[in-house]
Amino acid sequence: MMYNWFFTLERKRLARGNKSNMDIVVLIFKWLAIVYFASMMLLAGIATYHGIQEYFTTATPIEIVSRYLIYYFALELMFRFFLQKGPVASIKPYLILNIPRSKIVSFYVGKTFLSAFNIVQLFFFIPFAIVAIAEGESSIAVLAWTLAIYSIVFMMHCVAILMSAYAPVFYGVLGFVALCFGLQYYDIVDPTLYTQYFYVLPYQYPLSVGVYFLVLGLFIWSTYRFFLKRMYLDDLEKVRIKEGIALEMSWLDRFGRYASFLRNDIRLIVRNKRARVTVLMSVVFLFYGVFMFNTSGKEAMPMTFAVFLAFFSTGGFLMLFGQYVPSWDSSYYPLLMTQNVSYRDYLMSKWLIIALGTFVSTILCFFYIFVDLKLFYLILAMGIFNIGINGYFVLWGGAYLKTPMDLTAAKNVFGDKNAFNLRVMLISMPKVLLPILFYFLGSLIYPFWGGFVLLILIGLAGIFFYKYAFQFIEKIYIREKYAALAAYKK
Amino acid sequence: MIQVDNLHKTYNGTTVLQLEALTLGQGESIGLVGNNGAGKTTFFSLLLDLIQPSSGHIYSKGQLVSSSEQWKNYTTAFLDETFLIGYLTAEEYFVFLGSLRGWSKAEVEAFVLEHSAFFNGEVLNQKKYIRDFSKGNQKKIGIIGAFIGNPELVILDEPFANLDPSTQIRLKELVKQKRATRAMTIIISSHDLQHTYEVSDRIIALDKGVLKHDVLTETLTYQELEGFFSTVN
Repeated sequence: MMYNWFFTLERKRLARGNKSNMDIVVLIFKWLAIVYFASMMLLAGIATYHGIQEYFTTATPIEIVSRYLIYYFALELMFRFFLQKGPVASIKPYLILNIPRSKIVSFYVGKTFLSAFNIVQLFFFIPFAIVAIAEGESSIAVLAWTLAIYSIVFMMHCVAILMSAYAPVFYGVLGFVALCFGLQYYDIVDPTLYTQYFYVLPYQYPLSVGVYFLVLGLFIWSTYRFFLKRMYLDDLEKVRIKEGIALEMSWLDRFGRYASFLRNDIRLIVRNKRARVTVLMSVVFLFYGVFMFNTSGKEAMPMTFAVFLAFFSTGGFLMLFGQYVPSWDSSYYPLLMTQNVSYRDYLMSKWLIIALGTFVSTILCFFYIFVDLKLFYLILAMGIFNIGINGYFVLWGGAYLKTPMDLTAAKNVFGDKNAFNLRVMLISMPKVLLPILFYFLGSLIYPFWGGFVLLILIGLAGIFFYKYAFQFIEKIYIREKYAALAAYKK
Repeated sequence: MIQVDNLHKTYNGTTVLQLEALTLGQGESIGLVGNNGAGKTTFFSLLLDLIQPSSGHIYSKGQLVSSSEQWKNYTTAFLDETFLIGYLTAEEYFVFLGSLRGWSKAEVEAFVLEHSAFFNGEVLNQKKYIRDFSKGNQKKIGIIGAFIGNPELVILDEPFANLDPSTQIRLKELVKQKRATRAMTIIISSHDLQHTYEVSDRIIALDKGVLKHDVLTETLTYQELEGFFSTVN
C-alpha cells in the first residue's frame, strides 16, 4: 500500500521534471547503448562456451570464465561508478510523515536494483548456462554457478552505490583494484590464479551457493543500514562548513576593471568542488598528446593528427571549463545582469580567464620538448590558436548552453545530460576542424612550417581583431539574455 | 526617475501585470504592497530588465531600460538569493560590488563597519562563505550590499521577511535615514503593512497585476491601509 504511493510519486517526479528535447535524444542514446551491450552479451553468451572448448583443453569453459571474471567485474564496477546513480530522492517531505524510515530506505535502495546494470549480465549468463548444460555438464553445478555469479552482480551493485556515497568504500575498492593491477602489471603474481577460486567454487561444490546468498544478504543489509542511519537532515543537506580559503591575488590588479571578475573566477575554481574537479580533469588533458603519441607510434602518425593532439593537450581547460562559461555564474546571473558592468566587459573578463587558463596549459606543455620536437612546435602554435580563435568559439557556444550549474555538487562532471546540445556541438566543431584545415593549407605552401606559421598568424590575428569578435558575441549574448535568465532559474 | 508606460506582462495568455501609467519620483520612498500573485516581483524583474515586457515600456531617467544599460550606473537591487555569490565571504562580496560601483576597498570597509550593528556580530570576520550562512543572514548581506556605492535607486523585494526583529528595526532606521537625505529612491515590496507604512512616503497597492491604490502615507491612516486588504477580493 505504502509502496504504491512511492511508485506513484516517483512516476510523477519523472514525468513532471524539467525536460528538454535533448533529454529525449540522450534517452535514445542510452537505450541504444543498452540494446547494444545486451546483444553483445547475448552473442558472447552463445559463442563463448564452444570458443573456449576449441582453444583450451586444460580446463573446462566455466573454469576459464571464472578465472577471468574478475576483469569483467572490475570493468563493470568502473562503468557503474561513473554511470549508475545511487538512491536519489527528495525524501525530506517524507521524513516527518507517518511512514517508517525503514520503508523509505528499502523502497529507494530497492529501486536502484532495477537497473540495466543488473540485467544485461543475464543476456550472457543464461545462454552460457544453457549451452553448458546442453553440452552435458551437470545442470546442478551450472545452475549453482550461475546463481552465485548473479548474486555477485548484485554485490557489485551494493559496492557501487556505497562507493559513491561513502569515501572509505571508494578508497578501499580503488586500493584493491590498484593492487591487483600492479601485481599483474609487474608480473609479481597473477591475481587471477587466486581470485578464480572465489568464482569457480559453486561450480565444484554446488552447495556453496548458499554462502554466496548469505554474503549477498550481508551486502544488501549493510547498504540498507548505511542509508537508514543517514536519514537525518544533517546528512541529507550536506552542510559542511569549512573555513574560507583566503587567496593573495593582488597580481590580478594589472587587469584593471576585469580584475574583480578574474578574482571571483579564481575563487570559483578554488572553492567549489565541481569547478575544482573540472580544472583537475583538464590537467589530465595535458598528457593526452604523450599518451596517444606513445600508443599510436610516431612513424604512422600523420601530421594533421598531431595538430589534433596538440589541440587536446593545450585545450583541456578551454573545453572543460570554457564550455560552461557563463553557466558557472548561473546561480547569481541576475546579480551580474543588474550590476554596473557592461555585457562587453563581463564577456571580456570571461574570455580572459579562458585565455589565462589556456596560456598556463600551454606553458605546462613545455615538457613535450622531450617527447617530440615537432609535436612541441605544434603545441605552441595551437596554444596561440586556442587563445586567439577558439576562445571566441567557446564563448559563442556558451551563450546557447544555458545549463544551470550546482556548484557544490561534484556529480556529473563527466557531462550533464543538459550539456548535450546540438547547437553547442555544431559551434564546437570548428574548434577542432579549423586548425586541422589551416595546418593542412599552410603545409601545402611549405611542409610543416607553413602550417605552423599559418596557425600562429591566424591565432594572433584573432587576438588582434578581438573588437570585432566581441561585437558579434555581445550581440548574441544580449539576444539570449532573457532566455538564459529563465533557464538558470530552474 | 521611473516612468511606466502601458506595461503588460503576459504568461501563456494570463496577464500577470498591467500598469497603464506610473511615475516614481526622484528621492521618493515607495512601498509596494499586494497579496501573493499581485505582480510585485514581476514588476521588479521588468524594472531591472531581467524579463521582457509583453508590451509597453519602462523608462529610467528617460531611457528605456531594455535597450540602454545606463540605469545600471545608479541602480542596485536585492530580490532573492540569486543576487548573492555563494562562494564568496561577505566581505569579499561587498568589495566586489564596491569595485563595480567605483568604491575602493577602504571605502567599502568603512561603509560596512558603519553598518556592522545590522549583522548582530554574526556575519563579519567569520571566514565563512555566504552559501553557509542561514537564510536570514544571507538576506542581511544582500540588503547591505544593495546600499553599497550610494546608488540613486534601490530596489528591495520583501526585505523584512525572514529577518529577525532587531534587524527589522535596524532596516527601518536605515531606510528612514536614507529617505531623509532625499538623494536615494527606494522601492520596497512587502507583505508587512506596518513596516511598509512606517518607511514609505507613498504606497502603491497592486492586486492581480493591476494598480488598485496609489496614495501618499501623509494622507492615509494605517487603518485605511489595512482596509485596502480586508476588502480586496
